[in-house]
Amino acid sequence: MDKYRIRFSKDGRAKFLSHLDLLRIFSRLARREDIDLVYSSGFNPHAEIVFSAPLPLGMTSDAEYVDLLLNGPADENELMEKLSRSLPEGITPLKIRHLEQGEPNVMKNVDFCAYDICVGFEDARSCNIFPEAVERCLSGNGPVFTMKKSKSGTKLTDIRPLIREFGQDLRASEDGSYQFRAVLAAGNENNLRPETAFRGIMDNINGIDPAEADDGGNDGGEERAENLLSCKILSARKIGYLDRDMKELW
Amino acid sequence: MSKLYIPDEILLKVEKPGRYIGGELNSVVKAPGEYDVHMAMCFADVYEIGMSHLGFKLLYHLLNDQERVWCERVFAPWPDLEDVMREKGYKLFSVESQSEVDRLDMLAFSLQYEMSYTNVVNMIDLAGLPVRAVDRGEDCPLIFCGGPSANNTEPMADFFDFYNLGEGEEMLPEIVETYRQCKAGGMKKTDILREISRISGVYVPAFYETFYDDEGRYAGIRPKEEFKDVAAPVIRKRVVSSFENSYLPEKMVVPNIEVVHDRIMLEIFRGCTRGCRFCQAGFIYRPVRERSPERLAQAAEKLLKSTGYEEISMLSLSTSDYSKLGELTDRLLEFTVPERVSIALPSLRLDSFSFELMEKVSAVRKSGLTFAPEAGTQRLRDIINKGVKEEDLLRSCRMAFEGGWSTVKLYFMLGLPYETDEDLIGIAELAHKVLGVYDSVHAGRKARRPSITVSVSTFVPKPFTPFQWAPQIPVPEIIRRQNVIKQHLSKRVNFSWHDPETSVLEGAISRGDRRIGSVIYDVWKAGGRFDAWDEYLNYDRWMKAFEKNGLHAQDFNMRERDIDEALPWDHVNVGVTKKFLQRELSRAKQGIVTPNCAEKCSGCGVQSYGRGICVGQIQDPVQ
Repeated sequence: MDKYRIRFSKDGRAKFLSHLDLLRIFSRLARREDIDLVYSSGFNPHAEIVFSAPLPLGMTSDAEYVDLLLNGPADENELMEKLSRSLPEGITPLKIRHLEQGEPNVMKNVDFCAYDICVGFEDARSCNIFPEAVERCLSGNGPVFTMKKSKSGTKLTDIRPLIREFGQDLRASEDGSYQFRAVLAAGNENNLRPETAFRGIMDNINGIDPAEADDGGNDGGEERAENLLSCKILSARKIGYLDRDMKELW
Repeated sequence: MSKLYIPDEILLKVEKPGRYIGGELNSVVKAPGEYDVHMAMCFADVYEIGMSHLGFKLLYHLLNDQERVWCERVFAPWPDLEDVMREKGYKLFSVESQSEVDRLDMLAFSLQYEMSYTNVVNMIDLAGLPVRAVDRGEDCPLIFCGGPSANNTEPMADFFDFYNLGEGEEMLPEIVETYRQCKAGGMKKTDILREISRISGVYVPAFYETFYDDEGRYAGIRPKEEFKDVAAPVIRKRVVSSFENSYLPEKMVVPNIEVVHDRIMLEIFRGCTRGCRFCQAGFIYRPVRERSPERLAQAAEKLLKSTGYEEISMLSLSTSDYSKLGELTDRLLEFTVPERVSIALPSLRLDSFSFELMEKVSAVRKSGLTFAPEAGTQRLRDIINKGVKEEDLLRSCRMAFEGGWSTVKLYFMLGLPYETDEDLIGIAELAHKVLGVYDSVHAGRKARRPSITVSVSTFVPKPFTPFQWAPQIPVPEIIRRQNVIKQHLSKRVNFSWHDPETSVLEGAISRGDRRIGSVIYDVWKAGGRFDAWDEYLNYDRWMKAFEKNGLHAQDFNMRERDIDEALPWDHVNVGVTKKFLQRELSRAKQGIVTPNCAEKCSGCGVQSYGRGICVGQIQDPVQ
């Protein structure tokens, strides 16, 4: 049996396809393209297809991974060609690698994930003070509390230890929005979503009690006092996984 | 590929945005210049329901296989999206080109159930078009319909330009080609409709006028003087000239998101030999016609190659009645086994042959066997012509329990004509006997707790059945009868039932006449949509709309009709004669069973088509 890991991107309308949708899409594709997948034994055999952590619906990505277990070795170029022509619009295979015996799951060595976050500002002032305000928020001594979902439910969590980089390289896009890089905890141990980090930091800067802030707390900003930072997250794109030494994963 | 019509920030806030994005495998996109007729197949419910209908997908591919035609798909947006669309000024859009549909040439609605009618009206309005056909001008698309519910043309007659009565495979190519020529000739809408009306099986409601008697009852319909040259007094349903050779697509659009029925569906035969007296499908899809195992297996293999589906399901009204089931299964297994594709055999009657078959296809997921005795006593089963005997059912259950099954679902109907409390108690007793069989099979041994479910739906009398004259029972009586069953049922049996209000409204619409159109309009105007979904149905809204129009729902659903009174669907000929249906009603009253068509022809009238298993049979109109 041979295992292949494929890194792929998810763009455009494909961002509305869920993890389960992808599983169905890959297993049907294998049948159409005669990709000889290994099936589990048992009553309801299923193809051995393993994905990296599920991408939230609506997020685009350059760093999705799938491991396919095949009954024998395959020509990597041919496999890539089959995937390219048969995957739905927006899902593009980027590279392929034959895995060694016993190589661990993608998520095993992941500690961080880099994102490009796209935001919009209500006013020029907010835009000007953004990097400095974020820097001040993250470099202080106090915790940055926000409501965060975890396996044990949604609770107040200090997210500062989970943020490696955020908002320091703010750059303007052609359409009037702004982009910056964020590096957040990811993997099996800790995981911080870009929206959660963004909300936590904004509430902290604007002095909003995170326990009382509703979901749309950062959205409008119309009812805020004038000296506050008014910024809205528009979208996020996953750029790549990093290990503990901040080395990007294959 | 085109841009999405609805912007991302809206799609991200609605449920299941995958419904609206298109881009599915085998969906058809044509370039401008490749087509002269631009149309859409429309389904008046959400994507996941519409994409589960074989007929809808089949006709979509058939139309796209026509020269110079591009057919897209349109579904009803779920209310969460619709509310935003209306607020922000978005219109109904197509899946493929992601564009507004009000400039298309034709919109074809597939009418599958009456409770979706308010959605039809809502979709036309959301498209930015006047909902009534009479108000739609020259620049509006022609809006038409087909499908099982379309056979009673009248309740929706106000909204459609024309009806396709009969099998779409046969009629649609002719309709679009006629339209194409008319359009090329620069013809006006009424003239185009005149031309389309000449096609056999087409009904143009605006060409007819209806009559009512002094008591306000429907009295009949006839072509208006000025349309007599093109409008036939009676429209005869069309059927394909050869079912064996009729259209079977080699490709089928594969949804990206999960839909209700997500598999290859193989229509093994059309029609039904059984003639259960409550079942509309059993009459309107006659004559009974089979496809050969060779052709079916060939088509299935191609579909598998083009879709990659993991399951093939046989589709018909009664799988066991397919004469070459064993041969077909063997042929399918030749390629499904190596491809790890499973075969589903729905609505199978359980006997030793079918057990063997199920073992063969290893469809032995030991959860979920279903039986449909439909009625609780032999007396009532004979009245409805459901040829199931208690011994057969119990024998099947014994076989199943011995084979390791422990979950059985029993389907029944409530409110059938001539039903008494004894019949309802009979439902409970039958369930208890099934339970007894389970206990006896496992006597003295430790066994899993069985899961026996009694599921009771409410009978709705339908046009083109022997019970089309029968009264429906009112809501309080439905509830009382549900309770009778509940009271007599052991706690060891699960009980599920249907919303009674949905059933009586369905009853009023399905046997309604043209005046029901105003009721549907008013319900829609008052906010009605997705009435097929319990959470959106508002019974009072319907009652108010009936009242506003001076009509009584009871006149349509709860009144026993005179055997010779004019029925709003008398001008549609589905092949089965009114005489035959009258005969069947009288046999029902006497509890006389009518034999299966495969054994003996009872002269239903459909032999006149000269197709299917009827050919060559001696007609014996049993009295």
